[in-house]
Amino acid sequence: MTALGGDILKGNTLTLILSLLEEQPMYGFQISREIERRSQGTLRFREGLLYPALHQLEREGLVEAEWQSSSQGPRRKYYQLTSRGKREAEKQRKRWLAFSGAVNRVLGGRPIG
Amino acid sequence: MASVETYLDRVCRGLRVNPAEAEDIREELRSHLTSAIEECAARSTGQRDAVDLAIASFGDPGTIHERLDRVHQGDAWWLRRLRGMGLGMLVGGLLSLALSAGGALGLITHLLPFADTAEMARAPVVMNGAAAGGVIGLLAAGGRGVLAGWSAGAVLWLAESVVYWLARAGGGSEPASSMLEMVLLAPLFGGVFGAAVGAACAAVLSAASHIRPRIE
Repeated sequence: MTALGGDILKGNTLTLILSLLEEQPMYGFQISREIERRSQGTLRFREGLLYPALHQLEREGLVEAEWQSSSQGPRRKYYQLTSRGKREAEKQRKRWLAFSGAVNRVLGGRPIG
Repeated sequence: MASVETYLDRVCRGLRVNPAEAEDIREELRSHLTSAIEECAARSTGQRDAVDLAIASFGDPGTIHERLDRVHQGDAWWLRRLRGMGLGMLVGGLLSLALSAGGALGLITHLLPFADTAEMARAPVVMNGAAAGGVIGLLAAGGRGVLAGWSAGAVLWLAESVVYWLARAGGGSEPASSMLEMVLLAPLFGGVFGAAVGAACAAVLSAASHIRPRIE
């Protein structure tokens, strides 16, 4: 499958992060690998660009961060959703489903490829 | 790991954040790169290649620096304080201007020391309010706007009153209030002015921090 990144991810990175953090607290490296794994390698972005996005969410009070020591490897900064973040994640999910549903209807079920 | 540190230098150098925050960001990025290098090395690439691959996947250091800077802009303590001071001067000046324009000269005498009704003209009153507001805003930018404003207002009011009282007494004219009255009134009148300016500064600074350009 073709890897997608750059412009097509623009505007959706924050939604992806919020959605993953709904399940459990994660650190940056883990988030980037989860996005890649769940999209089966389709969604790829420069990993360093994840951090401005995470810091933005933290500034907006949607996530909070905490350093945790690891028995193996370096210390890691875990992010988890705040109550505002949970509401925002739900809102973003509904927005995405409405958008993707509309695009699918426009494309009219024509076969891909 | 020399190239990782060089790479991190390029990302983090010049970020407008406090030194502790800069170190925090650097450690977080280093933690990611260390994990990525371990992952690449486990895929049987050599250590040198693993470092290169991890750095390449991380992205252009200039772009990451620019985005981090955009998110954290204004976090540096001196920039925040400077903004607070400017804002405090504006609010303090406007408040005293509004009071004097509203004909509340008697009230200003209480709110702003040096504003002696006998000698009062609008410009010195506004300048005095702006100067006091600047100090209050400077302190309020550190957080706790109302409390910092109230304390700073009371101390300033008291200090100015003492100077005023001594100047009047030294010049042979009768001060309008006794020293004891001034000491007792400082927390009330100076505090009210300071708390109002401090609260306004804190509210504006907080609102401004939420309207920065958003990273998508």
